[in-house]
Amino acid sequence: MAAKHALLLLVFLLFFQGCTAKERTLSVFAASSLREAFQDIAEEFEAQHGVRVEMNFAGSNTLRVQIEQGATADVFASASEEHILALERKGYVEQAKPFAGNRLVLIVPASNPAGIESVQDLRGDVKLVIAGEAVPAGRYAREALRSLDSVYGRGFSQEVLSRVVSNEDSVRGVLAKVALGEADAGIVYATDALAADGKVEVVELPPEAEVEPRYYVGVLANAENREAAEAFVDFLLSRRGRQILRSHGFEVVE
Amino acid sequence: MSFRLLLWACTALAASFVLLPVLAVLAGAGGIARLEQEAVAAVKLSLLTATLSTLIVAAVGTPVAYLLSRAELRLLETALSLPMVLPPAVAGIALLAAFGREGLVGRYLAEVGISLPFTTAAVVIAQSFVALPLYVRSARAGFASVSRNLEGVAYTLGAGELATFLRVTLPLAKGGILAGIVLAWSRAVGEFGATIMFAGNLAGKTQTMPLAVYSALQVSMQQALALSALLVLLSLAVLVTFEGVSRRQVNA
Repeated sequence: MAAKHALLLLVFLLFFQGCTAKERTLSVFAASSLREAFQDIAEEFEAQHGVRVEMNFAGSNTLRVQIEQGATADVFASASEEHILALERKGYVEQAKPFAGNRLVLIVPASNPAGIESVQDLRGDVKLVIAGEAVPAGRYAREALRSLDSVYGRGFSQEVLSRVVSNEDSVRGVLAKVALGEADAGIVYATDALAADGKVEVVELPPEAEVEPRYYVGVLANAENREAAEAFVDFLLSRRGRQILRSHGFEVVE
Repeated sequence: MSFRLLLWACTALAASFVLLPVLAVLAGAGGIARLEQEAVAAVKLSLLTATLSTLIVAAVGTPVAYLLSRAELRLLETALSLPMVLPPAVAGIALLAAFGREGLVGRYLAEVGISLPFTTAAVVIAQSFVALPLYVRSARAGFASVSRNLEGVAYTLGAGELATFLRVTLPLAKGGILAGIVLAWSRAVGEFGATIMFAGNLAGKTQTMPLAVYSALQVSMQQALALSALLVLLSLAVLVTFEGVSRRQVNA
């Protein structure tokens, strides 16, 4: 008998939760490099608007496929133009606009087992980890290395890319492998290195490594909570939103 | 009569639940005949590593299974089954903690210049770790079904322990051993979580088929479907072979 009551209660609770969840939560899909910044932004947004924000962090390419396959999201924040514009063209996302910039850095474990001082040391016998080719951070990393061919000679990028031991599914996968000390080096965003709490050392890339990662945000065409989604984007673009982004190392226009 | 109907209704439901997604994969992949170079490399790597893992598991697991079938070692048996119930991601973390460059054992291996993570060897280690308990359990059951009297007869006829094991016990336990090999091999081919964490994801070196499917899905559903279809067919072949082998066992 008690079990029966418990079951009824459970059904009731699930039903009740389902009802409230629909009205008061906002689903945000964001590039994994945005994790800490968006957690802060969501916290303030929740306090201001009384809306619960649910986050889904992954590589922007993964999020794009999830959205194409029917995942329900209200806001999509992508680490590259490519993935969000593709969704906009297909009508999944509306009014995609840039909101922040970032830059790439080379990172090594705090113990720096391979003794890497500059990007040129990647030519040696090192275990390099980068993000996969479809992941924005992986594409930017390859572009950066290729642009260095003009400095260190043709074949430089090819040589360095032959040192890659793993293509991670998001930039945070790269960060984890380096922070753990399993890889000798990785290429991530400057903001990721900041988020690693001293477990990694930053080695700056030379200025010739010209890539300008840009973050874009848009509201989903079939957003269940359009009003809140637009408010979230507005907050992101507001002075306060930009302030939070800047405090996490992102580049934002004044 | 109505009970019969209920049985059939449940069976129909279960069958469509299992077959629908499988058919959806095959239907979705229909348009794509061309497999990327990376996919071919993944298939080769999967076949190679899963076979190696199975050989290792069988070599190490057979004596263990025999011992477990002849001695009461409950605690050891439970401990050895652990990888079977561990979430694969935990298995990956555990392997890193043990054999990673800064791991418990790995740091000493690193001193003599051996680094396991991100190597094909790491793939084999991950697969062996999760496949070993499946093999041991199945082989153990096979050995347990062999009557000790038969072994006793062999001894009285003058056969040594090793000779008895090789010529009497092992052939009689064949059913459980073969089933264990198939189970271990399919688990090894399907291994994903521990592999991606411990061995990384590099085409041709550590990217096995499940990792290739996962990576493909990050680009497009189409590519993932094509690869998945291949995995479905491969699994089906294993299953059919297994059924065939076990049927022959029963008839023999």
